[in-house]
Amino acid sequence: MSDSGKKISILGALVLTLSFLLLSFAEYRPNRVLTGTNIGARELFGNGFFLLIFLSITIIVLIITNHKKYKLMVGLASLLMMGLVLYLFGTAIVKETFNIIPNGRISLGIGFWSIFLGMEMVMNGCLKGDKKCILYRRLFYTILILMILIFLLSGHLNNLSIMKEFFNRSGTFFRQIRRHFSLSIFSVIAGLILGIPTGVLIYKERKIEGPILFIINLGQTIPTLSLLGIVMVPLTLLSQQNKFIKDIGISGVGFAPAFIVLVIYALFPVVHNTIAGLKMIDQDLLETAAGLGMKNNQIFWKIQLPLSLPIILGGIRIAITQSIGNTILAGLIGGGGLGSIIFLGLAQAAPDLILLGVIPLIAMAFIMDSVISFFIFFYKKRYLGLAE
Amino acid sequence: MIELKNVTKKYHDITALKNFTLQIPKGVLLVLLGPSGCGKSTVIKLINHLIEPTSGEIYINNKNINEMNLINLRRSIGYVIQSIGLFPHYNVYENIIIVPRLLKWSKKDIDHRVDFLLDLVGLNRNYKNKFPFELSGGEGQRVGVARALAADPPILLMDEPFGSVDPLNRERLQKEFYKIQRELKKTVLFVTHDVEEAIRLADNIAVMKPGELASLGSPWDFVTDHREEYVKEFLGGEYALKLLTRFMVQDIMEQKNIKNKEYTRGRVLQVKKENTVSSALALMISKGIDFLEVVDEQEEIVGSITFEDILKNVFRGTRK
Ligand SMILES: Nc1ncnc2c1ncn2[C@@H]1O[C@H](COP(=O)(O)OP(=O)(O)OP(=O)(O)O)[C@@H](O)[C@H]1O
Ligand SMILES: [Mg+2]
Repeated sequence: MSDSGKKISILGALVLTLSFLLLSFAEYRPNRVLTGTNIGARELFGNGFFLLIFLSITIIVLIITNHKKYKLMVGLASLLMMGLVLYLFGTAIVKETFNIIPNGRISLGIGFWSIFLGMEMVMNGCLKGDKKCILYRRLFYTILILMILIFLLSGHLNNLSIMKEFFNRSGTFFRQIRRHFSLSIFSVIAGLILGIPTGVLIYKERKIEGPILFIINLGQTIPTLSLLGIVMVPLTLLSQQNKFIKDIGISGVGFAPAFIVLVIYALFPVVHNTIAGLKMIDQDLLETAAGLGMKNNQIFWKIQLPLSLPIILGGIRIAITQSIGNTILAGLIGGGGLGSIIFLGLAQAAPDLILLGVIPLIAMAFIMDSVISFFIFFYKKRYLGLAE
Repeated sequence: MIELKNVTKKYHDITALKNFTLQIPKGVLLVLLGPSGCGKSTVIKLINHLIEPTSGEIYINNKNINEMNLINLRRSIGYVIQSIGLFPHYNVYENIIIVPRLLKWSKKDIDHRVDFLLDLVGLNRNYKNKFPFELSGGEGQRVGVARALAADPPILLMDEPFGSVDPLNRERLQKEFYKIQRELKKTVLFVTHDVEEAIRLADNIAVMKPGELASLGSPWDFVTDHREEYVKEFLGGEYALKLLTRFMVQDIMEQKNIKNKEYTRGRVLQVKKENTVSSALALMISKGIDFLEVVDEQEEIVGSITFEDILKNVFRGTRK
């Protein structure tokens, strides 16, 4: 482990310890909107508190003593700590004390976010300079997410206010997740259908590179919200004037403008990475392919596309994670998705409702990012002999 | 037959070839020798039409290549690129069979061919599933040669095909290649920096200086004929000695009665009949003798070789 990495992870472990000592892990509110009282780890977790402190100190000791398998041990200790926190939290909030008032709510305190930060610092430091860093990270967070999911599904955390929000609107919740996901994915697919050929064209005809990239880059520089406005105006006019367009459901609000904006955003990484991927291929290989008697289209499908695939996939990865985030805006104009939940939460000043929208959003982005990263990693290793 | 007529090639302001004329008759292996940057690769790329000449014409079998179907032309030319150029996402097998696959050979024929080629270039058959990143430079280069030979093309363009193979395998490949060339009589343009390699393989040697042909002839011609100081310098003072590596002892030995020991001054030493003549000469020099017995694989005496035989048979132009 590098020295600076060590410093970061020790700092992270200190953040963990201090969070348990100083910060609040739950906020109790008599009803949905009133501000409530903070409850610290000692009070909330009872004797489990000492176990948590013990675990944080163990992590520090493991790092300082440079234990042989410290990466594995630190990872396990961190996961154990998170599991313990979730378990103790669930147990604590069913306690009578917090359930006296029927409308009373318990939400996550700042300590939770703080230990996430601390854990990330520990991870980051430990894995700094490690070749398989990305793989380990993903493994760690996948286990963590699975753990959280198990706690959620088992009903152990049902008294948490965010779960109450969830039960209040679980029907809409799942519908919006699906809608969010399909809006993001289909806009990226449309972005690919337009973007990859555009990239190939620009690669072949360097003359058109300037003007086309100018337009695509411009789309990227305009803030998303403004772009949405820009797209809405002509769409509204169109649907007012053309009955057919109106009949197939396209109008200035709802699905259509959101979709168009998302496609424009997806174009940027797809086009740029397609060009970069093609440019990166060794000219000698293309010359060899031609010299062996491959036709141009054979060279494209058999040589250029497979060799630039990792970079194009990298563009797709960026496009998807970005699109999942940007799809929130669809909620603003009646396009649905998790944005609707988030903006409703903002309007009602209900933080739990906001979280209910944000958490699946992060999970979705993380999962898509991981899936594509893994695929790129596998492809590079298997076919190009390159480790990340 | 390959023919370049008054070909000039300019890259922007660099003139890589100036009024270049060269003929490679059918069935002849011509080695193009010359210093780095003199335009050897340019000549090769002009022939398979990867680059256009600025002026001049190129003919293959008396047909201007501009009038030929480019794709068919290239598929009938085996091409070994200088930088090896294996496709990183294809394994050895897939790299080798590119042209046969383009020509739609049957799977059975392809499989047979790959086994044959791997044996030929001296790679184990279980290399088929390896990817280029798992190969050493020399192994990769041998796969490159196998790929060029894959569809049994009548013409071969080889740009330093053995450049990064180790000396031992290099010599083996040269011998192997020389053998199949004598059998199959392909029309070959073989580029190298290595004078010894040129001597071993060439029917004709063309020595280049930057952008131009300096001299052309058989390997023997260059022993005596030094029209240009440049050529003499490039081939080096030991050219005549290097020429001896081309021959095996059995090519020039006398199958006479070796009981006649009039030549011996000391103890009679033996040399294997498939050793090179240069190694026989080295042995004579190191022992201060001019007579050796020649033995075969079973150590049976089959003849003799003398210093006089070497002079007579190599340098007076007679070859068995
Ligand atoms: N694509 C190109 N663009 C510009 N100049 C080039 C290009 N290809 C080759 N040249 C120049 O043309 C000249 C001849 O190059 P060529 O590759 O034919 O040399 P070579 O004899 O094969 O050299 P080497 O033995 O180093 O491979 C060199 O001066 C080189 O810099
Ligand atoms: Mg060259």
